[in-house]
Amino acid sequence: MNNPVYVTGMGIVSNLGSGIESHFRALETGVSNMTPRELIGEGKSRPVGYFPMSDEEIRENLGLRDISSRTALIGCLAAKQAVRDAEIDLDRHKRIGLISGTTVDIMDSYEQKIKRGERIDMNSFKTNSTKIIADSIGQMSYLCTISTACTSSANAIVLGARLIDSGFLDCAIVGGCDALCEFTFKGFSSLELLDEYPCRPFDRDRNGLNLGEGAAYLVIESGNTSHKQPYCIISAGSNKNDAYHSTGVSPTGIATQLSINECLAEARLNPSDIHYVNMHGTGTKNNDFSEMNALVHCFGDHQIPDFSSTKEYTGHTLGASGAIEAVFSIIALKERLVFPNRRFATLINEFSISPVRELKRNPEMNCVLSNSLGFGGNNVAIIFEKIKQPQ
Amino acid sequence: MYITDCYSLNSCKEVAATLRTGCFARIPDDKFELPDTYYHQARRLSRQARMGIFAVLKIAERSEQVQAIITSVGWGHIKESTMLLKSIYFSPHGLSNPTLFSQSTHNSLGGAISIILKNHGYNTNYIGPTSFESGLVDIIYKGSAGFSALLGGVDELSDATVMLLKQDTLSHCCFGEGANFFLVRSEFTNEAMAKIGVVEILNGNMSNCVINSFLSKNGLADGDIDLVLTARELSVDSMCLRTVNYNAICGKYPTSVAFALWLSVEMLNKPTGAFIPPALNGHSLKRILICNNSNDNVSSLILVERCR
Repeated sequence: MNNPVYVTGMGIVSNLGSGIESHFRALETGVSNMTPRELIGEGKSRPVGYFPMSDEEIRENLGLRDISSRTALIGCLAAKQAVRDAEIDLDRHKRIGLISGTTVDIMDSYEQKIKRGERIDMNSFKTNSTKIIADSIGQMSYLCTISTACTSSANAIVLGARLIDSGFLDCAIVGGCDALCEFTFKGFSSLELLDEYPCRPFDRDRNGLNLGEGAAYLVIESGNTSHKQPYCIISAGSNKNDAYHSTGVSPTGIATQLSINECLAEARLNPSDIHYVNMHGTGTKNNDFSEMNALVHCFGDHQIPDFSSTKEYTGHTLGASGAIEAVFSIIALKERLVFPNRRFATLINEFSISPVRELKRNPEMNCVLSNSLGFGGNNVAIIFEKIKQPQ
Repeated sequence: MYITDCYSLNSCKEVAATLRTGCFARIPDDKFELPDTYYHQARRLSRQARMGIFAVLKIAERSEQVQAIITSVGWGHIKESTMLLKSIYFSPHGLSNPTLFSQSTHNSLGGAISIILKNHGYNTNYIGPTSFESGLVDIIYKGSAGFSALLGGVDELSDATVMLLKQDTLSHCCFGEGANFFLVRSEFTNEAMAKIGVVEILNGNMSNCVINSFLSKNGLADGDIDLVLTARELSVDSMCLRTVNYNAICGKYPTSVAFALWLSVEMLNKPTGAFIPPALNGHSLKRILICNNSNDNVSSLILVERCR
């Protein structure tokens, strides 16, 4: 970015609870509450991460009676938290936008109707999760919905930062939301990508991913107009494509390499300036292999920064994962912590590098890189940088 | 930002041939058959993605590699999503293979384009009622010099979509489908066909007041706009503006605003073209305002200008 883009607020919901505090505690102590969910017609179940609030409880909490989509409901919860956390005065900003990423959007609310053979109301197609969230927050002058599979909310953060950097917006709420639904659960099962046990990112014996659900939003602003001290700045964001396969990743991780390198160049940083990489790390054979290959390529075998995947705690929250992991990256930066992959046991044969295995308190934590991959060959890398104190 | 090439795969002919209201005009499948060279890539693509690839190739085959590929889909993949859910709940074998799941991913078209063009650049996809306009804003603020991108919008009229749209008795119009793609550049070149001046997306519905404030904000008077392309009737009598309803030409679909942009390029460059309203025939148009007022929740304005 040419101008500083400040992160001044965060909101997050997932299987680890609601709010920054509960997520920080869960990651620090190693809580991961996965529960089994039955695969219809297959006589087996797979672990998933549920946000522990029913639709009815969320509706009650938000005072939104008419909203049936869980994706939209959890999105509203997280976005409202972010706005409250940033203490922004919506009226003070001339142009404020909501940029949201999602894969399922409000389609989750149709599943039960299709199951029961009920008619789907055409009017429900005239809105979407972004519009519902915007209306629940207040006056937004710009709305935008991104759907690039598992990089959706990472793209939303990068686009928002760019629209602030260029002066198009002066404040943006950026992130994404995705609720667990049959569509994605059975879809990933059909691709044979669901592990029957809790996932083990970067382990030789990793055997797939666990699905989760959640939503996270950041409030980002140009100049420091906030009442409170910003968490950090977004110093770079890059989107590149593998051009390899519709649902798979290239073994070399070419898109990951390109986007990490472009990010470093944009932020004018050396590889050694990155102190932690929050990887996509789904736990599938291909994803982790590709991503580690790219990491070695970008940083060199002997200068690999601390890295880990927080999907061990939340599962893969699809369109929301980029934003959820952005929040984790910012917590890591602020608290100078590296969240470990506690289930990691055995090195992958082709690599001599392993993720951080125990909670690590880093004396140096100036820049964190967050990486996201998705169907369609997408890769998005973002760098969060500590605000330098005046000398 | 300048448009240097464009292609429209549309159902205008089918719309024109249909006189009843509330009907559906589809593009015959043989109008977008992909060349044999792409057989391997095309065989797993959805019909909607094939429409998009067909339109993209018309441009990409005559241009150099671009830095970005930006797609937009309004209706999403209602057909594949519905089929997938029905097979989960009702098929005796459940969801037996992952084809429907990968086809129903909203950015499957962008991914397929990147593979076919071997393009590792920026690749994104927007959804919803102003998804195409979101792509325009994205490119305008990309901010780097010498930038070029392929940008387009695609929507397919499938049986599943038709089932839903049949309920929409309020819109007395013909529904259509299409894939409209553009090659855009950040700088003017001799190939430039039109300039995209300003793009504004509004969280709310369209009105004369909104148009007035858009014009004054951009230093324009009514007389500076030769034509307004609207998605549905909009009373602008008080403003001395001439309007044409573009959805009446291409049929109604969420990304039909991309067709309106293609139509603007046609009108600005062909003063006697088939789409020019009789009163303007032979006049050389300078500025067209596209007013996407098809949705009450969100709307947009795009100013398109002639380059020479």
